[in-house]
Amino acid sequence: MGSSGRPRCRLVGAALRCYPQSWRARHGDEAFEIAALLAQDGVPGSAIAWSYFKGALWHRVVGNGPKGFRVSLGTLAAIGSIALVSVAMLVAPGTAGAVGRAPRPTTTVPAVSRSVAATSSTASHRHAAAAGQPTCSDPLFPAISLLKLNRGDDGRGC
Amino acid sequence: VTTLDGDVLRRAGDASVLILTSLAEGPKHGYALIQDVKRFAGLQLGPGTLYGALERLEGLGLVEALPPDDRRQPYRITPAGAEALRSHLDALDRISRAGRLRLSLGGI
Repeated sequence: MGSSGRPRCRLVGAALRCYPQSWRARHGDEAFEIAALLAQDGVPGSAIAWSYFKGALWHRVVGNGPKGFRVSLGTLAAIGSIALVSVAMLVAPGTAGAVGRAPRPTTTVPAVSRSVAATSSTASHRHAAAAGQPTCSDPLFPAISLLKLNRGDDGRGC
Repeated sequence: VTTLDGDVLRRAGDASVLILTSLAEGPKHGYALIQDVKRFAGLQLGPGTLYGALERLEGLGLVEALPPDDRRQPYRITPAGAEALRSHLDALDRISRAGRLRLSLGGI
């Protein structure tokens, strides 16, 4: 059980640490040994580590029970959908422009402004001034403004 | 896809079939499985893929773990695993024959 045969690859070690403790207790030593032997065979350490990372992800998300599999697939589908929609909104300029040109509910920005004003008096001045200016076409403007306020930016770059 | 022939390996993934095929020869531990699959299939099985497939197969009762030999964990195929592999290979054989026949009829 010594560590003499273990690969000095931090990636492999990090990947194996992604597995649950129970898995590592059962397979950890053998997994290290297999990684060392594969490395001796000429398999790149990054490929070994990547394989273990994928295996750990599968183990964490899917597991090996049929019920867990179904639940996790639903969870994965939901997460994937949210991620896709978010990325599409951020990346697609046409979509962002269309949303920006469309008549928006007048309560959206003021509602955010009110919440910001409650936390910062300077913010209320800024949003009051911004109310008379052309609106930003970025549909994520309220969120960006909040982020910039939290960072201490002045928000003029939008 | 619904299997009509009781082929439980139809959707189990290629790694599971390769592992069962290797274990059909006799019990093996992880590295020996990787080496054997590389020898007879020409595929380098990733260790993460190997452990994932072994867990799936163990959960399905198609393989079972033997007492560990030092740090190595050997596995062997169960009677249910042998039957599943036989059914799957029969199904692959039918598909292979149909494909070859159609290719020859089509003159491709």
